[in-house]
Amino acid sequence: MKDNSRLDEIDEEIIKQLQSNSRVTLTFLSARFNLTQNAIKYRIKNLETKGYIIKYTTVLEPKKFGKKVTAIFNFNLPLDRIESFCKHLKKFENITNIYFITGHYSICAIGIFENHEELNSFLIDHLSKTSIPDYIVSTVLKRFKEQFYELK
Amino acid sequence: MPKKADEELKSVEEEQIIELLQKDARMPVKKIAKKVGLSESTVKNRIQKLKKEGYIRDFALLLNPKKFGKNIISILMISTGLSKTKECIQMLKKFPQIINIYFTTGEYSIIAMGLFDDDEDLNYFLVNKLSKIDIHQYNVVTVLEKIKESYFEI
Repeated sequence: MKDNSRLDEIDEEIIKQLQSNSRVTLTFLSARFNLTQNAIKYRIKNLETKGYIIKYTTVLEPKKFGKKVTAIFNFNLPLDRIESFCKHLKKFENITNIYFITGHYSICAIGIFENHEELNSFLIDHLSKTSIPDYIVSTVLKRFKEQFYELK
Repeated sequence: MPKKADEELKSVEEEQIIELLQKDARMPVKKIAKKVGLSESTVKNRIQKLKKEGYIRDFALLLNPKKFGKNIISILMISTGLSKTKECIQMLKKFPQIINIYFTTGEYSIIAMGLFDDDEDLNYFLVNKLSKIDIHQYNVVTVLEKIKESYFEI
C-alpha cells in the first residue's frame, strides 16, 4: 500500500522543509538543494497533483481567539442511526473531528468551545434533541501534542 | 474577559490575513497585500506580529497519511496513577506515531491518537513500545471512517 516509491530523497527533504514552515520561500529551497527555482516549483507541483500534499495551512491557537475548552465526546448509537447522527454532528462549527470507531462507543468526536457554558448549551440545547442512549464527555486539561502527520 | 481583549488586538485586516493564510499558507506576501489593500511591508509585519503574539501557532503542511502508507488511525485511551501521568505523557510524546496527546477529565486521563501502517504495525507499537510505559488501564480503538477532520478556524 505504500505509495511513496516514486519520491526521491530531494522530494522528502522538500516535504520536511515545508513541514517545519510551509511558508518557506522558493529562493531558500533552491539555494538549499542547489536546484533552480523552477525545478523546486515542479517538484512541489508534482507532490500536490499526486496527492501527497493536501494543503498548506495556518494552525491557530484557539485560546487566543477565546476558545478555551476542548472536549472529547464518545457516543454510543445503534448502527442504523450512525450515518444520520454524523451528518447532524458535522454541521456544528464547534466540532472539528468526527471518527466512526471500533470498541464500545461508535463515534469519537472533538469539539472546541468558548467555555463550559457554551459546551453545556451545545449538549443541552443541540445534542439533546437526538436521543443518544450512551455517551461520555471529557474535557481536555492540557494539549501535550497536536500536529498533522509528519514525514520523519 | 481575556477574549474581548485579545479580539481587540486584531484588526479587520489581520483577520483577513489569517483567513487567507488558512486557505493557503504559501500565499505570497505580494498577493496578500493586494487582497487586503495594505503594503507588502505592513503585511509582513502583521504576519510576524500574529506569530509573535501567539495567534498563529504554525504554518503547517497537511500531508495525506495514506500516500505514505499510514492506513490506520488509532485512538488510545489510557489511565495511569496521577503520579505517573506526567512521565507517561513525556514518553508518549517521543513516539513519532502519536500525533495528538490530550490530558483529560473523565474515565481515562490520557487520550492520544496515532497513525500506523497496518494492524501489524499497531500491534508492534502496543506490544513493544506502549508496554514499556507504566499504564493502569487502557482501551485502544481504531477508526473505521474519518468523517470530519479539521482544525480550529476563524
